[in-house]
Amino acid sequence: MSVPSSSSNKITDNKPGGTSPSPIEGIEGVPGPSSLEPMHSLLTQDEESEDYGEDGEEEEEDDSSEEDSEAKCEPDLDSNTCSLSSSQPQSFSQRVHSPVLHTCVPLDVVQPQRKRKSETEPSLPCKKLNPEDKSHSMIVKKLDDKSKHTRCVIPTKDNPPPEMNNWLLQFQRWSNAERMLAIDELIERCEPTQVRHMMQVIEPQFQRDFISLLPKELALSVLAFLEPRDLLRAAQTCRNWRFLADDNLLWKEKCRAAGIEDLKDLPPTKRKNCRNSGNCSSPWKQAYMRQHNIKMNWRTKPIRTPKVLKGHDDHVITCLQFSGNRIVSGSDDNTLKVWSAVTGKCLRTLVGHTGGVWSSQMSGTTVISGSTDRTLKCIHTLYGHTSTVRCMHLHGNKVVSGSRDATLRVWQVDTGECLHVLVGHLAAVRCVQYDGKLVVSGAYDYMVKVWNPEREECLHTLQGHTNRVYSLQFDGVHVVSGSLDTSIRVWEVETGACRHTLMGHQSLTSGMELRNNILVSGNADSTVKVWDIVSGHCLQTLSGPNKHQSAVTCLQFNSHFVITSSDDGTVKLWDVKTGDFIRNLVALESGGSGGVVWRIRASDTKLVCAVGSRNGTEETKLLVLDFDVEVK
Amino acid sequence: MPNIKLQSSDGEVFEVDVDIAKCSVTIKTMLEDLGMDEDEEEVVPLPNVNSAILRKVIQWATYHKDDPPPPEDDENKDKRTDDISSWDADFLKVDQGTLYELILAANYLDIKGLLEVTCKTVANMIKGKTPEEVRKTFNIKNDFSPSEEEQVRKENEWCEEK
Repeated sequence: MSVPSSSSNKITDNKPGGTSPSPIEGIEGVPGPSSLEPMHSLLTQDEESEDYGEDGEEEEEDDSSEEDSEAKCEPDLDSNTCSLSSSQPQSFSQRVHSPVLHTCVPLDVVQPQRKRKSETEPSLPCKKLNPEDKSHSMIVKKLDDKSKHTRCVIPTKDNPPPEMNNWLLQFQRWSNAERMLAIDELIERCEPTQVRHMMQVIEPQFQRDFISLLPKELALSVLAFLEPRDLLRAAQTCRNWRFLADDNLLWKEKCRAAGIEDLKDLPPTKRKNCRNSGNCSSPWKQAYMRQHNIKMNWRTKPIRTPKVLKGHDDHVITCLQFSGNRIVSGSDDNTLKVWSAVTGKCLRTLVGHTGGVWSSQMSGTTVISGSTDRTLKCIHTLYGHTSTVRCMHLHGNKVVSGSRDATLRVWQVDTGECLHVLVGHLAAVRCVQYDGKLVVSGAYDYMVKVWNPEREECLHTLQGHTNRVYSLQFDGVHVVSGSLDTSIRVWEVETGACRHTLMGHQSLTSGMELRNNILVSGNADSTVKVWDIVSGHCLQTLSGPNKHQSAVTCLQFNSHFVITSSDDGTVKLWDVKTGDFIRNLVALESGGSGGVVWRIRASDTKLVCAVGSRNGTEETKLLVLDFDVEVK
Repeated sequence: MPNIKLQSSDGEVFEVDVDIAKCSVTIKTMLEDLGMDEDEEEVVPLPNVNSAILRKVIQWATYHKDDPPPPEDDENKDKRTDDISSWDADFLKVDQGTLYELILAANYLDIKGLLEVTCKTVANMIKGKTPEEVRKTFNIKNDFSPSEEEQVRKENEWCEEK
């Protein structure tokens, strides 16, 4: 309690009969009454408001300002203060100072006194209380007289304006309807700043800390509606919220929604749910944050200097594989090179082909290559084709190869044995897909064929393209074929019927990828399109002011991004949902003057690009970009 | 339609269409399991819901009585919060104390739709706010020590879009 004792004392000194205890003593006297009665305010008691019902008009001094006197006299009166009558004589003498006390005695000190009073008198008839009421009003009157002198201090809760108590008591006396009216009138008389203050005071009374107060499972079902970003902010609110906003199952759900199905990518040390170091927390949250940070590394963070893997001299890199930490590049220099994606070192150079390598497959430690020398090579050399092996698809222990000789061959990889030959195309086979059961092939005879390899039987010939077929995708249900006739066709493998002809590209569709009925196609017209192959609608065209300036050479996509490479020497990142250009991941200085990106392959955290030129402006090499979260 | 009498914790009795009352799984189960006869003049006591809240709940259930039953598997459901109907939004323009009691009542009475829309409403009050704004909204005291707060801030740093 801060009592401006100096000023109070001064005023007291001006008073006659200034022998009374100092205001401070009066305050100290409070424990007396409050120890007799619990502190809850008598102001709320109905009888009390009735007690005061008739004062105001009657007025006139007389007897005592018990409120003050009691407050003051408590130390002196000691326990006999309880008796109203006994305290009166004393209070009479002291009442003179009461204004001073009123300015000094805190409201909360005064209240208990009143309370006590009311409790000492409940049996008395109302009228008998009038003297007290009078005294009360009288004090107010005196206060009014003195106010010019006594209001030398800024009002605080401990030091309210002298009239306020009375004003409040008056309010307490009213019925509900009267109070409502009074409140309305009060608000009416308030200035905007005061109303705003009112609001600030009142609002918290209606506030609820839902998350802390609700049962845990209900709090969690509220939090489940928050986006991860809001959850992170909620966790910073207070300890309770942090505990709930870090709930592991909550984050497991967020992971599921974001396509994170397991914790395998998380470093083992973080998989345990421990907070002993004060450190977070939920393994699923960690996994989510990791993925988010990686995503941001792709989208916005400064791109770290790529590793440069030089090789194949000035030859073209024709095919690229990337799996685990191994990169395999095939070239028309007749070799393939195996690289470490971590160190960037060339681990092996695979030599033996006598012609350029134009296709390759990789699975685990197995590499298979196809060449213009008419052979495939793995640990065996696979002889049989009579012209260039242009395409192949590995599935399990079998690989299917397509050749310029217009046939396809099915090989046993571990033995090198040719199991089947698929004859029927009338021109070079350019692309092939194999899912372990069916073989689908596209050729320069404008045909797409569906084969049963075991029976070496062509099940369907998918006719409709009016030019060479260059690219294929096959998901077991749909066959999607891209052609030089600028169209892309979607076929039903079961019936061989053409479901959709996807029109819109201007040129050759060179590369496609199909995932969950979403097709992304890269075209020599320098645009990329995203299609729904069920509806046949084009969802997005990746073009606009930042579009590729030349033919799209390669692409890859996941649930967030499309990555595209082009003859213009850039690799671009796009938002697969909005179709928005995000940024260039690679932009060769020689772009436009000969530097091209031939092939790209990406994992969740790395991007491998095969770059070079045909005119010597850009040396042939691989660039490896890392978007992983930085290891601390 | 037969009616049923529901008694709030403070003793007020509400007469409600049985079909509307049955949108509360708690009441539905009570009627079925206990074999309460709809013709009887029995009063169903709801000791956890006061009259003010029960009145709101009945108002909500009456408006939503023809809603299709909520789907069973909310496991894979979209957690969107921008799909609150304008009627519900108006209905839930209440102070936080009332909203809080509505959540508890919806949970106790097992009214999935009401629970969901009330939880969404609270979630919307949190969304997009800074920790300080959240504290202000719900009158929460920041009980982190300065070092703790710094740690929590780092731990929950969100890499923003540029």
